[in-house]
Amino acid sequence: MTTPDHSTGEVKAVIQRLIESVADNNTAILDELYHDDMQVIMLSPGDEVSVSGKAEFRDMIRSALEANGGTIGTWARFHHVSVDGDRAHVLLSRQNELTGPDMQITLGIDLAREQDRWQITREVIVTRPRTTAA
Amino acid sequence: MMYFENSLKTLAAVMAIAGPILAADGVRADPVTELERLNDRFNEAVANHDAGAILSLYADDTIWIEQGKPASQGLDEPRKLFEFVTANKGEVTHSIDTLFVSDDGTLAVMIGSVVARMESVGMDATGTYLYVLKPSEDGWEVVTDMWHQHAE
Repeated sequence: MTTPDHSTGEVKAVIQRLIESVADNNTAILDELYHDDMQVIMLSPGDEVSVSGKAEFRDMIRSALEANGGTIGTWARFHHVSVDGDRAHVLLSRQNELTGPDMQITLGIDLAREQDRWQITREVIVTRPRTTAA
Repeated sequence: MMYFENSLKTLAAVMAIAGPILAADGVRADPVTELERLNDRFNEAVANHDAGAILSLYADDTIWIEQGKPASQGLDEPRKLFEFVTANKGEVTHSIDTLFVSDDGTLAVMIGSVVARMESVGMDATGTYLYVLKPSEDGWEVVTDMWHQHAE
């Protein structure tokens, strides 16, 4: 059996679908795209590091959406997308209501192709004070 | 002549590990200049096969995030990698693609491309790096390094 080639465009589309679905308050996509063993590492400007799993992070997003009336912006800037067979890596920056007007985030996302779909296995979220030029 | 060459090498080594860039009035250079200089120092330290100089760019409690491995904190994992690279005369070049410096100057995020060649182990690869940096007493230091090697 041969492994099909997956493109960077395909992986980028997965992340864009995630961003747009969450922005529309469709959090069901989190169950689909987040791997059951997913790990989220959040780095705050104050040197705090927190590590959470799928359920905890999903609840955090749902709570944040509720606090923001169920909608958030979709602004995202992709820096790099790379694919190596059934593994992929994405670097992007975002700013929206979840981060607040004074904060921006840069994300490093690892994905694995399992069960015929891309799933996020690790998400590193760097929160940083606002950069005007971003 | 040999003495002159050695002096130049020594000068280059001192320049590579020197602190922040100071203007004539003793005021620190702007953050972007300092961060570009840090990137240059990384490249120079690798070119000099000097693992210690590379590690001097990192905070003692650096968070190290490597593909396919659990994240770790401290210099053990960076030391293992950089000692391996320098012992094998690896050629690694970092090029900055995107640099964010927060308006308040308390944090920077550097995203860039890596070219890595190590003839002795048949390595010829590209990749990306994501640095989180914080200002230190004598410039900036890397507090998080997330790197990813593309398929060869």
